[in-house]
Amino acid sequence: MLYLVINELTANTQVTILILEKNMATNTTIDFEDKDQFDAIAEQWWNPSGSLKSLHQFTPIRIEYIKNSIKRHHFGEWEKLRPLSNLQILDIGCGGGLLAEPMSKLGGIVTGIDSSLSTIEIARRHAKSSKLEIDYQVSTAERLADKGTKFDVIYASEVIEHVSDRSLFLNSIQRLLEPKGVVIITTINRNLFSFALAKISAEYIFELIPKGTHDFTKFVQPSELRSEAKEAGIILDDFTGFKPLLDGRFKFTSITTVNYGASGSLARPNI
Amino acid sequence: MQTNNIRILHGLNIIMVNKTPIVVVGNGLTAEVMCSALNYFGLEYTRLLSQRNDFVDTRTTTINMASQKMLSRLNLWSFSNENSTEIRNILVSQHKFSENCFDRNSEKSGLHFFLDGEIMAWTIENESLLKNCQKHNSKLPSNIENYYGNLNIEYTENGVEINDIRDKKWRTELIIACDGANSAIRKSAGLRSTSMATNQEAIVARINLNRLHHNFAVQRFLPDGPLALMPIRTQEAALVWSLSKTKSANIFNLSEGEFKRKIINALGDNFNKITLCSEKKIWGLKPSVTRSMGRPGLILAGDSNHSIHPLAGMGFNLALADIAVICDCLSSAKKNGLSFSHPSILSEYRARRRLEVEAIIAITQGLNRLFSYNSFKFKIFPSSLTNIGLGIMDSLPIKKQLAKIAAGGVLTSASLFSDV
Repeated sequence: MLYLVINELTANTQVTILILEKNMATNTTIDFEDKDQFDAIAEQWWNPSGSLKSLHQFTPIRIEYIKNSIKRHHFGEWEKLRPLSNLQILDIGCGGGLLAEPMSKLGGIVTGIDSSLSTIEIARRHAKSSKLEIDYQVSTAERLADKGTKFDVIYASEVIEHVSDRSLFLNSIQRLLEPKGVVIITTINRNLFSFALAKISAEYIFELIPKGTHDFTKFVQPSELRSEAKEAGIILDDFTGFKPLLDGRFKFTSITTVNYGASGSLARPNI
Repeated sequence: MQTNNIRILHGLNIIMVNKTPIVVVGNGLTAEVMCSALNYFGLEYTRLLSQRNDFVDTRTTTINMASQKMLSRLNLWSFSNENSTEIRNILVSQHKFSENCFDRNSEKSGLHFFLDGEIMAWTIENESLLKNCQKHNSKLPSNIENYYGNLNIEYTENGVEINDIRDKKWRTELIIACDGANSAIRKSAGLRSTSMATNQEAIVARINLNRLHHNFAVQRFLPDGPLALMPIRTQEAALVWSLSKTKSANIFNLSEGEFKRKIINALGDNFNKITLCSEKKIWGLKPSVTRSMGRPGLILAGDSNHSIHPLAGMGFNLALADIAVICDCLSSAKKNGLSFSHPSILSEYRARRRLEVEAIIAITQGLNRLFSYNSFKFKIFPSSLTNIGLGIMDSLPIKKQLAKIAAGGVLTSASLFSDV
């Protein structure tokens, strides 16, 4: 039993670390006119052995979840090599493009938005070297929604826990979604367990992170997300947990205690 | 299959860079099967062959059930009775073999593994398997290129750059190193491999028993190391005799007649009709394992990843399981739109291979030490301890478990191991 608890703690700490890592990379205040520092950040996003290593390890299961959700909503041509061909996909908070690039390789017409110019520059540069056409923009969901653009698939992975006004955010997604489109959100739960893990990570492992980097009150419970999305006109009808294994892999679980994904579509007018 | 060639103006010279998603390096069996398997999964690759003169491999390989299924799937399992032999019984003993050792129904001293007359494994001649693979692979639409000297490899964030001494260049997402136990690629990547200290060498030869072996593989644990006979055709056998380095040199240098007498002494007088039907060769035994199994941009397969004691004939089966798992990992990365250098591929590979590799190393090393290694404690209690060991192993659950593990596909699952 003790072993199981330790196992769970160690593995979950890893996920919490990666969320802190990602937060550091997106909310950086580094002066990007300094080329060396620019390159150092680029390395953080795409160096598989660098400080974002855990986020890379977390990528396959997030892609699987996004793919499963798209499939569940009857999108995609799954017998083809590029099953997402012709689907308009929006990656909100795309960072360096860890998810946007695979989605593009699978055939999606991908738009990636992030509030940080430096991050978008990194993403653009990497996409160019990967010979991928991804429309990266420094923008927010709200601004994009105001333009009237619509998407078949919208995902926001490890982003909603950093958003200051969740209801505005979900409302923007609702406006950006095609009538039969699918929305996918992955995030971290808010409870004593995830709080304790984040504290352990921050205090004992990532001592360099200033206190207060994360606002735990912004972490969102599945039930809250479900009801807030419903108010915004989105029905989230699937909640799946991501369980980290000690060997660095993740697997799907019905337990959403720490990391989880939620997906759904627009509420029909009569609901 | 088209390789994407890029020209770089380098001073006045134009250097061709061959761009390919996967590079397989190696001249041997593992590389051949790796290429067949990649092709089976629709994964594009370039094979790099070194320009060394390959020796003729007179060794045989044991193929277990899981491996046989995999080779069948890859259309590499088309052998005549001349070059594949079924193993239906395995007899392991500490004592000389009696006259009726090849009679399945007679009382045996030692451990007798069998599956009610079913096939347990096959003995295949390496050369014949290699020819099958080469014949099959020659029809594949793949790129095969030669390289000269040692490869200079640079792992960068955007992929792997490979150069040979003639300045031929390749750019790839992933190298699969199938370049054997002394892998130059593993060494140049600075990957640490753990070697088990042994002072053993193996003498390998093919012998004619001049009697029917009835598909028995026999193995005798001698104080200096195990002596195994793997059945070939109806009356022949591949001899693998592990010995301490000092003894192996002495025995290897004996005349044919004296060498035969040593074998008869070791196996029992009823083997007195044996004749040698090949030259004998000597192989260094240095079991080793590379726990990292690679690095971003590099995956080790087969002996470059782990070389084990040949007493159970499991080495090539482990290599095939590596290949099967690598293909699953690469295929799932491709389905997720991930590059082949994505770190999750190596984590997945490591997680799925670690258990079997470590178990087989522990079993082969353990058996070798428990039953034959000439260590101090066994000199004090030579027969009693090993008899207890054999007694424990003869207990049904352990024997069954060992047989299951040896059959393959138990500690590793992969799509290539499923039925055709």
